[in-house]
Amino acid sequence: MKKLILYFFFTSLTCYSQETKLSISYEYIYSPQFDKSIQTYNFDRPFLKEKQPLFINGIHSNFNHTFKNEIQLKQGFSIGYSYFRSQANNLNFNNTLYLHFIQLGYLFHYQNSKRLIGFYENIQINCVLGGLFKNINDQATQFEEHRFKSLGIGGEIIGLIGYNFQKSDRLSPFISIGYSPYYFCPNTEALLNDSKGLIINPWVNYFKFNLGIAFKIK
Amino acid sequence: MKRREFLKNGFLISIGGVLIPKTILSCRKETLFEESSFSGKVIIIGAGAAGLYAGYILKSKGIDFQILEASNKYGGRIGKNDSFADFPIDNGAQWLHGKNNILSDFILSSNTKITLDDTENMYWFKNNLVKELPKNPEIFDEDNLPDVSFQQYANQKEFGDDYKYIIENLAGDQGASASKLSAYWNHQEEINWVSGDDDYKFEQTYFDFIETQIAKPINNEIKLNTIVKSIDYSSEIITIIDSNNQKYTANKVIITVPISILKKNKIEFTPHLPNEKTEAFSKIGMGAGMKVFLKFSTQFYDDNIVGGSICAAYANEKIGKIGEDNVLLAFIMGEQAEYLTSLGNDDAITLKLLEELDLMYNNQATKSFISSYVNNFTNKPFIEGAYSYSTINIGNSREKAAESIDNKLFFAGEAMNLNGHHQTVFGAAETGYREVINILKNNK
Repeated sequence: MKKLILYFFFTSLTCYSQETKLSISYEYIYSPQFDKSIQTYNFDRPFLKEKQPLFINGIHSNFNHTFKNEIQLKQGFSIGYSYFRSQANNLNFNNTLYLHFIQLGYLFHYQNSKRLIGFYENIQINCVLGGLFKNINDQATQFEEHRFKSLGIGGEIIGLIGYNFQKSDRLSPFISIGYSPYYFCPNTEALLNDSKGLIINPWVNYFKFNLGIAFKIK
Repeated sequence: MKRREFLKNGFLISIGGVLIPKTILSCRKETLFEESSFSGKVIIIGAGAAGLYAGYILKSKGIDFQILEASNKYGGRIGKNDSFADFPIDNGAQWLHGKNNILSDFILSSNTKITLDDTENMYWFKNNLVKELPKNPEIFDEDNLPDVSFQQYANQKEFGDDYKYIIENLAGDQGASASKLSAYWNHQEEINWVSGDDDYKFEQTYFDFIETQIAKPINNEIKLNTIVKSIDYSSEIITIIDSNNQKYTANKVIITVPISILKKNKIEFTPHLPNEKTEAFSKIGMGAGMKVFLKFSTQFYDDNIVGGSICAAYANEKIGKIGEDNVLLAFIMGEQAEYLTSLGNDDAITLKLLEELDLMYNNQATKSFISSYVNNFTNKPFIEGAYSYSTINIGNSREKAAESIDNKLFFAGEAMNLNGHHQTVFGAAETGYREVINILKNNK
């Protein structure tokens, strides 16, 4: 049954697809709230020599699919995943933070083949689901006999510019910028800094920048 | 598009890709106040966990500070006795409650030995020791609790007299009598608790850890036997006068004395503290509390005994320690501590506890009793109680009590903790660094 569903799924994608792409990119993230929590963590723990790095650099992978259309503005869907890690190794104390985002969204793909040959633009509107986790000395931190975690949900808007090489349009480099208003469960600060008193608002904003390459599958 | 145009566009994109993150990166420091412009002096009143940790942070930032401590030792409600048994015992705070807290990180990184205390409770119920109770008394973490006392709520839930001292033990954990602790507000504050449920004990003592890691590095800045009598914050420079009329001046003052001292106006402020502030102090509860250590020739008792009418919580002190002596801790809070204090002397207190243990264990207590040691926080002149608790109608009093005044007076200590970690050593430490942040934040 599973195989049958997968067969129909991929057949329908093939029949109706204009383009299917997989991409991988470097992702830069800037969130003032995450920064403040980690900065506070570093401030109030002078006993840890190596400072906890901020969430800055991550990787992002994306699968997107645009549908057949006669006009230049095409539409499709996109599924993405971002991963960030912040690790500080101190004597007897190795603190690692993991930040994951899954993006599910709709994209508008525009390519004007007459004016800007090779270039295309995407606007993506995503729903973002995220999770923040922490390991101390390679063991997951626990709270009430479960893994201590902070989950969240948000929206995301992304603008992307890419370029299709004329000789081989299999590969296309791209850059994108994005913004997300994001709501974390109130454990975020507790997880980052064992505190709830300093940054009370669980709303997080983040900006992101991606630089990567997309592989055209079809 | 021509080749030239493509190269131009590609070049701009690449430059943007490299420069934009680099520019933003350069604005992002790894810690707060990396370059603090504050050059004044901070005086911290009280050398308990909050005061010591505030000093420790100020030292790490190179800021001039001094700690004035009323008693002849630092540590506040954390202490140590290493002569009573063949292992060191904690005079005051002894359990590390959970591991998701700042001191737990410090303990791990300093390789301080702690042990999980996972001992089971035995209940003194209807004159018998039982492993399980007919009804589960854990009724105080439900939603929609009314703002009534633990005792009233237990009555509403039809926990009769048989459960009186079981409920007293639950309230005693919070440093209060069941008749005074608010079911609603206690729960509201506990919602914020993130440290975890497990309890850990120190192989040495909590005091050893605090002393070695936090107090010793700032020892030169601690002045003991200095009882602060008044604080004048009417001008830019704050003047503090102690009981010997010695004067101290500072730009900022962090007040970390126990809430009992603030409630009783033992420090005179000029100008007077706002009414809102003093009302907030008065609404935060602080009850009586004592720890009695009983040494026996044999261990006839269980690791935890809950529900005694004289003492609602006994615990085997030897758990997590390296030693042979059999020491039982009687952890006594609220009305039970008030009653035992009223007996007037340590021998009378010990006798009452032995009577209760004899009843529980067929007269084995008196037979094997060797000695006792009573540490009554209620009688300590600069403490006067156990720790803060949430009274009925406490509302946002902790927030009000913790607010700074005129960017000159800052308030810290376990009672001022706003993230559910009040009553704990790490909760007090959290307020210490919080107030240093508040000082630096307002003086960028």
